[in-house]
Amino acid sequence: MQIETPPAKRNLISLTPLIDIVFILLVFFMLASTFSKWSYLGIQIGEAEATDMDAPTQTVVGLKSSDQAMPRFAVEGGILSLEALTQHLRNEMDRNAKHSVLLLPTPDLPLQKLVLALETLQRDFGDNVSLAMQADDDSATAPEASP
Amino acid sequence: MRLSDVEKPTEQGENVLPLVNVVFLLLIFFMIAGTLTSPEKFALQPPQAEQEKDLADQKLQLQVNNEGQLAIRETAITVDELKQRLAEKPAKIVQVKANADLPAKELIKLMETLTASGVSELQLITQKVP
Repeated sequence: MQIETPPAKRNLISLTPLIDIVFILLVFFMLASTFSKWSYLGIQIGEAEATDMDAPTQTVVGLKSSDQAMPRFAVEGGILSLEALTQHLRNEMDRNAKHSVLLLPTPDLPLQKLVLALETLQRDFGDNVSLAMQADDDSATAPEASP
Repeated sequence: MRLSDVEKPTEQGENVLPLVNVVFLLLIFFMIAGTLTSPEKFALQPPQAEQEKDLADQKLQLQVNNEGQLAIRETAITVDELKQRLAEKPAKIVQVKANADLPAKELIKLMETLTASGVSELQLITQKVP
């Protein structure tokens, strides 16, 4: 007696479990991955004394909150625009390359405005820009930092 | 009649193939384009900045919420615990993630703590301007 064997089927991997696993992986990666691109603003801290010794002259710039993105710059009692401040600082730097700029934000200044001011001034004046807190008596106090 | 019965499942199987192809492509896209992040305690919206500097992994990353509370990964920590941690495992660089509307005094307060603990650079995490 001759038994006819059925023609051999193509031996495919069963698709359903494969799709299950691929779907689970897909959902995992969709939920777990993020696309936000992080960067950072470096702020050097902890070398206040060295900075002070190297910088015999200093411009203290108060940062005050404003309606615009950029905070207002208060220098020696007056309010300066960014251009005027940059010009003023350039002149000081020409006289003394180690002239330092001390930023004093008001206590409630939002971080976004502080970051914008720091970034902008850092682009022009680099390490000469430092950051401190405005004390109640309007005098600069530690900590001090330079980006 | 029987032939059609046998053919049905293979037809269905073949119809699924384009779906599997697309799902595979999506999977590969998410695997390559996305980055996996560790879960965080606070949902924070860091400030925006123009400059691009790649953030290094393997650094101590502190989260600060608007009340000045601190967290590392998913656990909240106090200032004293942070000081203790830095005393045990000194770090030169600390990354700080905070909201764009965090009051400046909270950042300065944190800077004071970090300076006292021997940290020399604070990396304030920013987002790229879209």
